[in-house]
Amino acid sequence: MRRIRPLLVAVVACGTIAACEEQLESGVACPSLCPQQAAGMKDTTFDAVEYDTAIAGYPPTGAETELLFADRPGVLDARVIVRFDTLPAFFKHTNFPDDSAITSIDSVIVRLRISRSDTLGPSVTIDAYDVDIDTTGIGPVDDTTRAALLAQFTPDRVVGSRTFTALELGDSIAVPIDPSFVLDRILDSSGTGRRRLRLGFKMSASQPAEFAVHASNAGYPPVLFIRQTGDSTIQTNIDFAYSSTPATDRAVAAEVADFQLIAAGPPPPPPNVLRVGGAPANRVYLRFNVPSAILDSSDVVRASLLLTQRPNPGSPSASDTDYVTPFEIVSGAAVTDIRRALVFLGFSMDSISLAPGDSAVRSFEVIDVVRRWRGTSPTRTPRSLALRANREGRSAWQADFFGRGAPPAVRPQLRLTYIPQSRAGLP
Amino acid sequence: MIRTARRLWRPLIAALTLTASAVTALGAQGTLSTQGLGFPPGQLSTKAATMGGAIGEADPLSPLNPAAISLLTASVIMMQAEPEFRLLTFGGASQATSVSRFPLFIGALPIRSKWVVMASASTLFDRTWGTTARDTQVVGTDTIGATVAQLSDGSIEDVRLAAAYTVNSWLRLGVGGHAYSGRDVLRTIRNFDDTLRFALDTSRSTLGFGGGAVSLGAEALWPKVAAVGLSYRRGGPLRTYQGNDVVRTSSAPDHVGVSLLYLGIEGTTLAVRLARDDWSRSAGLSPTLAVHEGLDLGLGADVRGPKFGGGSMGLRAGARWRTLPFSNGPTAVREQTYSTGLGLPLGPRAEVSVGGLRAFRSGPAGASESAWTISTGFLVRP
Repeated sequence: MRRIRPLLVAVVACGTIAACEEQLESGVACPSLCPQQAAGMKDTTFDAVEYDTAIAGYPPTGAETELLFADRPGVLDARVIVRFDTLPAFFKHTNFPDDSAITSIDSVIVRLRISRSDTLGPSVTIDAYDVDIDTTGIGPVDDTTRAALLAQFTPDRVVGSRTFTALELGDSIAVPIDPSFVLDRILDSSGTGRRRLRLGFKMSASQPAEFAVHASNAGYPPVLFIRQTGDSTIQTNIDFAYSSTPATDRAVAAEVADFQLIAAGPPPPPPNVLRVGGAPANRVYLRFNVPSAILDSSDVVRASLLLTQRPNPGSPSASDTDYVTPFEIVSGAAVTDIRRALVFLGFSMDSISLAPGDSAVRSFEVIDVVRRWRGTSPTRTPRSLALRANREGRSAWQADFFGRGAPPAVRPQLRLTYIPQSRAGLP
Repeated sequence: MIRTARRLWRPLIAALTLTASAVTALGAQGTLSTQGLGFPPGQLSTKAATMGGAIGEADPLSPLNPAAISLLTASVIMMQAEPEFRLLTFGGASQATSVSRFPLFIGALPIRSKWVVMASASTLFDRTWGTTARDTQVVGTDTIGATVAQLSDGSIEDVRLAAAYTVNSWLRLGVGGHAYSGRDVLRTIRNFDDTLRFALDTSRSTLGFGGGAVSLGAEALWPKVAAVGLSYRRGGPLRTYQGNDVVRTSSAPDHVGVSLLYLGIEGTTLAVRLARDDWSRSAGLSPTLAVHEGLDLGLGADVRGPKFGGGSMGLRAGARWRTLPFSNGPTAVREQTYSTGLGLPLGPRAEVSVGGLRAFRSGPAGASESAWTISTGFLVRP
């Protein structure tokens, strides 16, 4: 019996504990025996945008994963800049114990890995330009700006060219570079002190054409091949895109090893129109003013951003559909530069598929970000979000929306469905 | 979620969430037995409950009659668990639910030869329930469907400090001070059918309860003949809080009860109890409370069983009839309970009481409810 007692207690205790799992929810007697439902939902649509703007230049220079080549007269002229700021001075000669100095070059090519192409399109010609800026006597120059670089695309600075048929735009393209030009840079024969290659690639075609190559950020950097002799037994020197400037910021330098240059883009939108996408790509910034009586004192269950799309039939790819996506902006109030704030994009929300040539009221579901504004102070946590095109930086696709300065019927609005809070509970 | 002992010791003022919007009435709470302020378990020990509550006013382990604690000759600690399994039937459909309860905790200590003091915490009202229902609303041009779940988790506890004095060989007197403390967390979860456009909505509010009472009791015992227990509890203020704000004020219910025990049969106790609670004194807590009052009648027997654990097993049975205090309308909920149980001594220092209670409840609108309650009491004598 003494042995049974502890076992008995354990059995009773375990049985009691096991029986304590609750299953509370009962609805079979509703509504007779159930609580009255909470107050009905309310719905309101209002002009909630207190500030809006669209800013071009995204993704930021050097942050691209694709580099676009485009020749669309009057619409888009897209070029590619690549830097090879380290050049080999020696090569490994067959059966020689030591490296040999480079004193001659047989051939040089730059290989670009294709990411998107049209193998049914026209033949294209890729010209390579020397875009290295001689700053002697003129002081420091920001050699990533459009104006500074465009000035280098002159006929006397062409250092290589090749025509490719559409079928050749498959895996990659190899653009030949003048070997004497490269040798001059390796040996610094001109005494410029610039032992580097900075090349600008420009496409031309008999018809509008475009294709894209991978950027270094995509893991497929442009590659420079230097063959010293025609002897195939001698190893070819291989160099990857690399930038040594700005010397004071290695992170920026890494970004500008290769980057996009938009020589000409679509015309800007008219006033009171917010453009998403394009070339260079625009992002839209919207800042909201939502009444605290709704945001903080009610439970918002649905939030829809209503934007009226302005038809843009003259847009590149006007009939092509693509997505526009709203993003939460995660930068705080300390970031007052909107261009910079638009870099800090957090989670994305429901995206809308549309064609630039269409017109309609587009409804973006933004409940996730509106709920995060609850209980926050707008002076510390700006109530803002961004719009971004899915093809940003990879095409000139763009969509236009009316801004808050447009006529009332087409202004941006916010539709909120909410449940007024009631502190229920007394029987 | 299992309610634990710490709920019994919560402060009177509960934490509040969010704003000071108007407090609205809920109307009903999903089952017959949990309407209004909640379900009253009865503040009975397992032994008393399995005897139909018949010995409640004379039972030292039931915190009703403070004089009864004088029957304890050694210090005791006791806790009790009572999971309940319910089946609600309405309109031809049935739904099973279950709730776990820990309705009683006791610690008692004899002081010298004539005094006994006890601290106890017992559930006055259990406010644990949940409902799930469909809701459809037309908002603008949209018809919005959702499943709405409403959940309540809480209780009102009676924390008593009692003292009893043995006047002479047959008479004992007692007095008790009661503090009512409780908290109720209510959640409403709205899950929309259209999850793409609508986000899950959860709202939560917390109510606190606080109040007091005082009780007096007497117990007369004639060994091997009879015993009588008589108690009276006068309720003091009972308030409902949201944060620091008192949102409702009323009074705690009064209680009066008497138990008559016949001890003339060797090894047998036959008992009857009649009690009444003035639940209507709590009506001020909500203008929509439908309060009903009635007598609480219990019959029970305890027979000495075979030897077990150094003592004798107790064989118990009983029946109880009462009117539950709250319903959702003018028709009261009547309850009949039939019970049986065992008392199992585990040596000189411990005892387990276990039993089953089968309850039948009938109420308005043709609803009926049946329930099994497994009551288990663990007692140790340190």
